[in-house]
Amino acid sequence: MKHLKSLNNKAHLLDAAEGTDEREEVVAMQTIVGCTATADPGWEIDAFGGLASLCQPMESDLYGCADACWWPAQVPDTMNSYPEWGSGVDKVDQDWRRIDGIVEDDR
Amino acid sequence: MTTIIPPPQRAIHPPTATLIAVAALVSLAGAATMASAHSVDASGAEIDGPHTGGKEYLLTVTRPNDLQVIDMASNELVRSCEIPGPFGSGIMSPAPDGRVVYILSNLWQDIIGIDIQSCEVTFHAAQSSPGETVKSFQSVAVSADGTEVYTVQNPTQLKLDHFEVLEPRLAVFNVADGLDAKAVRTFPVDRRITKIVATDTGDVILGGGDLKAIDPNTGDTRLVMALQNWDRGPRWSTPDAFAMHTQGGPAHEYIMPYSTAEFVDDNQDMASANWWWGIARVDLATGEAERMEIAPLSEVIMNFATDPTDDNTLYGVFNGVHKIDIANQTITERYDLPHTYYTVNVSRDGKTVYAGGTSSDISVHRADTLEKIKSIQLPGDMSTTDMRVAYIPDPGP
Repeated sequence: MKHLKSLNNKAHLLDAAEGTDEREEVVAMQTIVGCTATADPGWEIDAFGGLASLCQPMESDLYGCADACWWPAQVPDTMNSYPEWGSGVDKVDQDWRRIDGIVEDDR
Repeated sequence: MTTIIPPPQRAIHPPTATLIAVAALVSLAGAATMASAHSVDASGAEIDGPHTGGKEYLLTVTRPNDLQVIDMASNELVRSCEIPGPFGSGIMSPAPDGRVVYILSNLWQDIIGIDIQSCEVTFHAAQSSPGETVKSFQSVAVSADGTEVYTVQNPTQLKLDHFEVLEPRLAVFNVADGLDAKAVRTFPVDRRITKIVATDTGDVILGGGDLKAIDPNTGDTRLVMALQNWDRGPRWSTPDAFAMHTQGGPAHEYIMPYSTAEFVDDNQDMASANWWWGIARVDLATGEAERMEIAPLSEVIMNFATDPTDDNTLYGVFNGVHKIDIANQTITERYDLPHTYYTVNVSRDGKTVYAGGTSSDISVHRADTLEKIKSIQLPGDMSTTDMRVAYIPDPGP
């Protein structure tokens, strides 16, 4: 990195931010560029290391996680980036097969 | 003039667990009426007497974005009202007179007021503007006199080559401003506030790392109950609060549930600790707050609601319906549910418990035995939405 030279204003800002006294407060960016409202785990295993306290079935939690940007859920964020993801599928436990995955190249 | 109806005489069972009572919030100017000669519920509305012809409704929102109105006398869906904008999040707060409900919509950006009897949209606050996106995270509340709506705004400015996250702010709207409402006052508040509620004493409870109260006229804030900053010594872990659903209910309360670990010694070994569910609970009539452990954390319970007729009895839901005796810190009844539910509420007479959220059905149970009475089928999934009770004393023909 020491051989790189900053050429524009933004690069100079990054150089200045490396010093701890220049670093700004880190704040959550959940409102715009996709989101995570929480870093709380709980989709693969529950808080007790088992499965009994997970949401059951997974489909009952699908929109509850997508709509609230629940990071561990690995579902598209409908709050900002993919608000149309569940369109036409109002009951996901019955019609989850009709929901498409997201392929970034399609955007 | 603000009319304040004193809370009813309910059975009080002081818990034996850690209990901290906080002095009542200072009342704002207003006239207080004498208590009714009839029995009243926790919100002051009469249970018997000349106003028992009132209607009690269960409210929730389903995808794609419709308000569902359920008659709690018959447990039948009586009305669906289209909500403007796409879904997000369906958190709501009924007005004190029960006639209008204020709902968070349009991808967590707008507050919409809908008359639950006519489906007329009576209020609309669109918070975002060109160059600034504003999201409210589960925060919608209505003043006790029904004239103001409150929310905590999280604004982000969209600049040419970067985004700038701004300070959160409590926004105050006048209900009378109707369909193009703009905030008439804003005050800076802490980050990380989600669920809020207005008390009868004129303050707004802010559910953040700690419970605080703000005067919506002056912006002055004060601590109501510490949670994140609750120092209980080395034998207790910092509580982890779940601040997703506002709910409230006929018990006229605000509950912030938390989980915590009680260590067996100062080594703070998580593996050997006793885990507890606890609640911080605010009586909205008086502003008094209490905080205590209520039951062992043996399984996940997502939300809690107090029996309006007995504040020692609590109901909770997740993969089952739970009935909790607070004084004895025990789960006294449990009913297995066919799938997960997020939200819980109770009828005003304390006889029926409802489990909702997540999918497209509301599970209805007897409060005494938790036996299932009925399943109310809805046209879409409830996802993150609330499930609230609205009571209209004089609904008309």
